[in-house]
Amino acid sequence: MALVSLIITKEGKESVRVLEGGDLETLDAQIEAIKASGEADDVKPVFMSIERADFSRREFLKRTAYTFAAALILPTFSSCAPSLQQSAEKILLSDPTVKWNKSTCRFCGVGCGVMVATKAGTVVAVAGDEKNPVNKGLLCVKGYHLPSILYGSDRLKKPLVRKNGELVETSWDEALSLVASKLSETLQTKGPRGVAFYGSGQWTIQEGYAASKFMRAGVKSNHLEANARLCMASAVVGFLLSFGKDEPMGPYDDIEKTDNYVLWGNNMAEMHPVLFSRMLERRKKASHVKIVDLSTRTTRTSQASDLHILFKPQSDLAIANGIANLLIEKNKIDKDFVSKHCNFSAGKEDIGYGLEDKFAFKKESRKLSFEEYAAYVAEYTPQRVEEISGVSPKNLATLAEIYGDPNSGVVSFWCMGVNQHTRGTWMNNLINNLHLLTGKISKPGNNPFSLTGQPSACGTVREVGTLAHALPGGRKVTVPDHRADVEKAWNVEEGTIPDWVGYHTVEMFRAVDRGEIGWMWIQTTNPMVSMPKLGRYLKAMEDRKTFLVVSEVYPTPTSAVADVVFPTNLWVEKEGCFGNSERRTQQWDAIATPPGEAKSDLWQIIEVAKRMGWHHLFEGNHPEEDLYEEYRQLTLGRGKDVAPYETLKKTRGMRWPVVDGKETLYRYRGGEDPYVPDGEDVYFYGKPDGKAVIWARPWEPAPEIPDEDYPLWLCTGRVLEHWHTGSMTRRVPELHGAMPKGFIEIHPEDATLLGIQDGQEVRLTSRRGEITLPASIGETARGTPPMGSVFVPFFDESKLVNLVTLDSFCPLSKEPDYKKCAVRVEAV
Amino acid sequence: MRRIFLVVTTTLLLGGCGDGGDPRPGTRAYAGAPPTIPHQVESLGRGNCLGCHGAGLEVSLDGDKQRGPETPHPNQLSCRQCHVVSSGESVAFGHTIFQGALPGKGGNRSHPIAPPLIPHPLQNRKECLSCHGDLGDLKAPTSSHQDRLSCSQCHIPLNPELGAWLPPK
Repeated sequence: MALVSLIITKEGKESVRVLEGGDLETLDAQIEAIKASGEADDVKPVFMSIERADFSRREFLKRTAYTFAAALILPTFSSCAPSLQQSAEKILLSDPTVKWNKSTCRFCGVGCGVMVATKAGTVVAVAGDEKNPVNKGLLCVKGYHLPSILYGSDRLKKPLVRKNGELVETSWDEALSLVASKLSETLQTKGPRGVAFYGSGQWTIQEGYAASKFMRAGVKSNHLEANARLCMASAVVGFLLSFGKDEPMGPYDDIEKTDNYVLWGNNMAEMHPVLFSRMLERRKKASHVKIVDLSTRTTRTSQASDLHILFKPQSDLAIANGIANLLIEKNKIDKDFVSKHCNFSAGKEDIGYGLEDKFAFKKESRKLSFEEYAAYVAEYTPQRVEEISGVSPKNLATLAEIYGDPNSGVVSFWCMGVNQHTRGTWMNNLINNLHLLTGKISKPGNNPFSLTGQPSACGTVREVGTLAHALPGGRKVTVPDHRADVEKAWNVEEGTIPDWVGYHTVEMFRAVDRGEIGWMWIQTTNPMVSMPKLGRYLKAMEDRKTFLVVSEVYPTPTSAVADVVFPTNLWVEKEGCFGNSERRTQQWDAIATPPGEAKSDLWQIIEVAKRMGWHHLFEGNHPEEDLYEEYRQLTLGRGKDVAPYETLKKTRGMRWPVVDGKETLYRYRGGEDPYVPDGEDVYFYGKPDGKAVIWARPWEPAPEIPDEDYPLWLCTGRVLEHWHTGSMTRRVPELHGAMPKGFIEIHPEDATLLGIQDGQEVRLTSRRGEITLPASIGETARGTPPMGSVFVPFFDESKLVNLVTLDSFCPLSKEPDYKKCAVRVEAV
Repeated sequence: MRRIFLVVTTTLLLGGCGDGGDPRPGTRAYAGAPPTIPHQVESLGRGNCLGCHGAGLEVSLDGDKQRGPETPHPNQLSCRQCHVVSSGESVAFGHTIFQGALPGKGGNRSHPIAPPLIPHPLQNRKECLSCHGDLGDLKAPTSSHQDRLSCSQCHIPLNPELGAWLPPK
């Protein structure tokens, strides 16, 4: 028996009536009867409980009154709003027409498996996929609220074109024809170098591959980039220089096999929550397991760690070298491993910061002997490291013991702290060095592991190669044989793919400002929130210096400056594949109906290509499968062999290289990786002699350091609840309700000195620009920066912190440093 | 002020607006979604969620009972990975039109004295008594026979053939 009260609305006034002993089956009829009697304009049932022995009628009435009072007090209470609005039929999970399908999370690079429940093409629930070994049935709060990202009321449903300065609705045919004619016009006036395409690690593999064909074989331009340049390019170049091949060698399985996690500037509790909870469970089961958090700010990760080591911005370079020095000094290196599997090299130093347009850098390297390398790192004595970093000799020694103990496993995790760094490539090399020096690599429980922030930064950007220099399967545009391979697979004439390296992301947007780019297409990303030194690029777009096409799901600051906006399918509204951080390629089917006239990014690329006369690039009836299989051929034999499409449909993904139907957990390890020659225990086959490189890399200061005018360091980043620029998560009631606006974290003592209190509006100013936002100080703050520094998340498009940041970048990887610049903070 | 606080927290504990079938629709986006936290918690700190939610807790304010139910998944250690505090602000742009699924209707029995079927997803709900025990959720039926520890011996999920309503294993 159910207890039910009814909220009766008549001419705007509400009253409560209690129905008791109601049979749920007849409730609808009763409500209809009240409406028909004219007593009410609207009747809403409030279900209270299944009757219980201890649940008196009096108590029930009281609770009903509370419920009703709260409904009046909190008219905007997040979860009330939708349920009070809903007059539609209730959907029960037990409904036989509700179907469950597997999918992959749309958010970060962890790549959790998600079971998605749909009814008649509408997503009504999700659950963690228990069959998926990545997350074993658990998600994070963002993943659990995936369904709502599809259902914001302002989804883009029709193509828009700019007419008389305003974006107005139009037909697909008009929008596509306009885009194609402007592309033809730009090709005539500026040539292929006047055309650019900018995507992201949220492209499916198929979309990124299609964009690559569109640009290299259609437009014949290499100005193809993806926002992963802003997020993991330093890891790519780091892996390439250390091992000759990109991407981590180990799997997530190491989390359950290792004894120590060393987190380098990586707030995993908020950014990779599912992996972090796997670590916490491992530590609970094995009490000797330690989490060491190296960071420039106290976070939830620091709170959960066994050892939290705060260091000064940019000084991670000195810390890593200091550990290497102690390993050598204490005779903790694996000499046999190093002599068999490693070379030593040094590169160019004092390499600049990319602050000027058309910044040029050419890599150089020279071989070192072990003795020369040892002498190089010997300068990083514990005392010098402490001077640079603030890390005590005791903590440095602890780190050296963790890396140096031959009986104890260690996994190093890192993400944006190391990668978004003007010396990001060096820092990647330095972490790889620690694993090479100790032989703690390519074996269970021991690996360097760079995490990614996007669902397919690895699968699409790194593996398909949607960067200005890259081609599928780890090939490069500058290598004639590589271009020939790809031209053959695409069935295009020899010489079609240009041999010049296109503009990397920062330079691409600078080129827009210089007026060089006449036509640009942006898909699956929101650079008018995420570019550093944003003011320059926003102005260039507002000045209409390029014809801008934006494929989007919601209105964003990027779509606001477009000439044409294509309404686009999101997540399970389309079919595709993502590749996660552990080399796992996963597939899902289109199971939800897109809104209005929205179409997939892939369909859009193919339709524009057809209007350009490039039909030959996209033949076949099932582009998602056909393009994937075509791409797969380009991965075979390259050490990046991805699994067949049919296999991906049936499994929860496979980790490449997949050879003879078997995935690879540990790359470069004999008996595990089919590319390792027989008889070798470890073989780094990315290098001609099978030896990885230990790089001598120095500490060098950051380009902009706090001074009298701008006395504080600014670090930008993310929060658990929001994903990237918030264009999806800020439309989810539970997520937005939990984190409604951007803020600036200030150390309590700095705040006192500045006369600023928690919640007070403050002005944040750098040499580039200024914004105002509320201060977050003390107990209510998400994290605590040390004195002398502040932290601002970048998810809130109404508080664009990138108007303040600096567009310096790592000269090797071209990845900008969002973590360090000098600012001033004052009460407004 | 205290009165308003009590009303609000009581409401949130009880499930806010109420909706057919779902025990706590006010704090869940859909059946099986992690509920939001209906009270303030430390934002940084290590948190001590299990202080109340470890064994479960009941307090009485003005004679009105409030409960911190025992966690149904004590093996999971990173509470705030899934549970967040909702401030009451809805969304930044427009409104949501998402309509989450509710669990099946409760109490289904094949005959009057048959054990009722389980009408909700079971994922992350390993401890039945955390909701159905004496210190359980105020809106979940309290078991009359908590000394019998093998719940699934008699109670099974709504026939999965009626709808693939639990994710396939």
